[in-house]
Amino acid sequence: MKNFGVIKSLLKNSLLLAAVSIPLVGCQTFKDKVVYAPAGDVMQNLAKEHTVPYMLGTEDLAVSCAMSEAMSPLLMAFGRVTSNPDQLGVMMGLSAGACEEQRAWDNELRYLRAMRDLRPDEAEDALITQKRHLINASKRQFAAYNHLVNYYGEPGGECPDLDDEFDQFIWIAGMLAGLQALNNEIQSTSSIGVPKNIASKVERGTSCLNDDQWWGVPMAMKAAVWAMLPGALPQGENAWERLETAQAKGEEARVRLPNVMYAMAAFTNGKDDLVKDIIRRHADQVKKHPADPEYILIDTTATLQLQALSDRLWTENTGHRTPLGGLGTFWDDKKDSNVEVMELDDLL
Amino acid sequence: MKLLKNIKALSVAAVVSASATSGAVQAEMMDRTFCVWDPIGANGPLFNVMKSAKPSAMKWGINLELVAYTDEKIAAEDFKAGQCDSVLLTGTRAREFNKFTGSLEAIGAIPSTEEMRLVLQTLTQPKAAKLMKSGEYEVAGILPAGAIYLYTRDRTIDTVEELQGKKVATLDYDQASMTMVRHVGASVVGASTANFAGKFNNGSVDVAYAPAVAYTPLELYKGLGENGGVFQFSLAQMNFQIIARIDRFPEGYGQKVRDYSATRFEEAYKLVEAAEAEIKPEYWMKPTAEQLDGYAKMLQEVRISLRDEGVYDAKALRLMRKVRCKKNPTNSECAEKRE
Repeated sequence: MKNFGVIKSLLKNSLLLAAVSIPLVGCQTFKDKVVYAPAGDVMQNLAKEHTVPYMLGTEDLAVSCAMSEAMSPLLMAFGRVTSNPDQLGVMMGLSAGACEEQRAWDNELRYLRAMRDLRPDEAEDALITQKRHLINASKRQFAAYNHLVNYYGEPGGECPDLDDEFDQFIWIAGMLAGLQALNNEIQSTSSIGVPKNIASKVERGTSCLNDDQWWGVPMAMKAAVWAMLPGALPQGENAWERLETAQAKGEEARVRLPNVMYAMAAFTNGKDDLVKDIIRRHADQVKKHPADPEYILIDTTATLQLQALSDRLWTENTGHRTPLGGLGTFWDDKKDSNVEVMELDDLL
Repeated sequence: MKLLKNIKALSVAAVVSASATSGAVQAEMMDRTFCVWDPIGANGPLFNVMKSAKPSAMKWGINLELVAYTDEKIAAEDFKAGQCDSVLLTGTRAREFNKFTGSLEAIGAIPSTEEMRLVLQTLTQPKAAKLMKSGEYEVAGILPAGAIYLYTRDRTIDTVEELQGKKVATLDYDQASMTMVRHVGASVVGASTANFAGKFNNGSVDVAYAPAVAYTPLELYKGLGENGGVFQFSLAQMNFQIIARIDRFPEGYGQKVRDYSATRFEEAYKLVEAAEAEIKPEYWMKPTAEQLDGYAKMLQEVRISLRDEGVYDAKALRLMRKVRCKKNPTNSECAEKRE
């Protein structure tokens, strides 16, 4: 009888607990479903329909990078209450990865200066710092690639439905993120688990896009992989000719992203003179023909990436980066000998 | 006044000693070129690992200029022609510069990572310096790259006998592999590091051999398909070697680089382990203990004949036999001592 009383009181307590906690749980679900989820959908749609196109039309890469670093947690957290914002995740990861890449470049330049000044300790420190940033960049870009895989499936197999322009754009961005993740992991000389077959998969994945519509970028990516991955070049193909054609397409469209792949392939293969030529031509084109207003950010990104390569060459040879307004010029350029001057002999 | 003088003297001393330990190198620098073979070039993993060694070399008075080579043959030729003061090559390529270290990739001579570690540690000792020098060249460091495995498109080829008449992608400059392939009655299909994977994946050869680090980047799983497999037996332990022209570097440089390389072993093994873990478990074909014993004996015969032909170095084979016997003292070869 005593036991019965205890059981009764236990039952009473647990019923009370259940009665109290059910509305609490229900309240959270209510908030998630009625408040946060629609807000998340609105945010996702706003980002897709306005924020991304707006940013693409601006030229301040630092702002876009800072926005991605700051906004990623907020936007990606909506994945807890509504569909996972994978497409946005691709853009956020790619862009936030670029912030870390820039920090890595700065340290690469510090390393090069220290080596020139015969300061090995400083050089080593710069190299270590550079690698830390490269690891972070690679992680962010790999996360972007994984968002692509979540949403569209793995590149390299059957092509997904890339009905609208936004899908196609995200497809390019995700594959670029994958290639960069792999490249940055290799540069960092560490292993963070980026699969080494991304390059081959992207090489095939570019075939899902219309090369003319996307400024020659798909073919540039494909040909860059051919030029960089041993044994990847199909018989009868010429990676360098393809890269040159892609360069012309990018120029025609005034979205000159293929130049970055062209220059990277040339740099990797030790063709420094070709790298210089690509940078010269790019700088000249940018001066003469302003970027397509819809894709200013992409064109600016290309310029900044080439500037990073130029800075590396300048710093190695002079100790400082490309002088202001000097993109497209090099320290060893021959001075124009036909400059007009006055005869001074009779005055001296 | 005296106190002031002392403080002045102290601060001068502090400045002098600070600059001496700041890592700034005051002495004359030697500019030297280091030609690095990396199949991916200046953005590749080997090139980047070597780049990390530049500050250390600077502390030893050497300003290394790194040049990337995607073709190993050209890197070796340029080094021979004197265009590079130092070069990074695979162990087999390095054989023409040092027969002893060039024999470390001898077929079946190092069964696992454990023995490889022991070999590398042994050769890092200053006492081993003599073995590292050969004529005008010195091996200034060896880095492990993991076991070389046999990949087959058809897993019913699971014994040496089954290899008879099968086409094997064989590196055409590697005399030892050519001998081996012919020894088992298979047919040689000449290949290079750049095209062997293509030949395997498109079916122009039945069998290929490669380290695990090549598996994912070159998509060897495509050649393995549904019926293929990877034979879990270390055909050799691949390695990379840094060779320097002795007269182009200061005394003791080789040992310093070897000591530095030894600090990178763990990093290298981690990369190898990660690559091996990427091979799908169902692909591994595990030979029986009896088969393993048979292969070990067969490969030993091939090694001995290649030694007699002058391809492998006798001392290197002896060292590796001693290493194997340290781990497995009951092996019959330990009593026979034929190597």
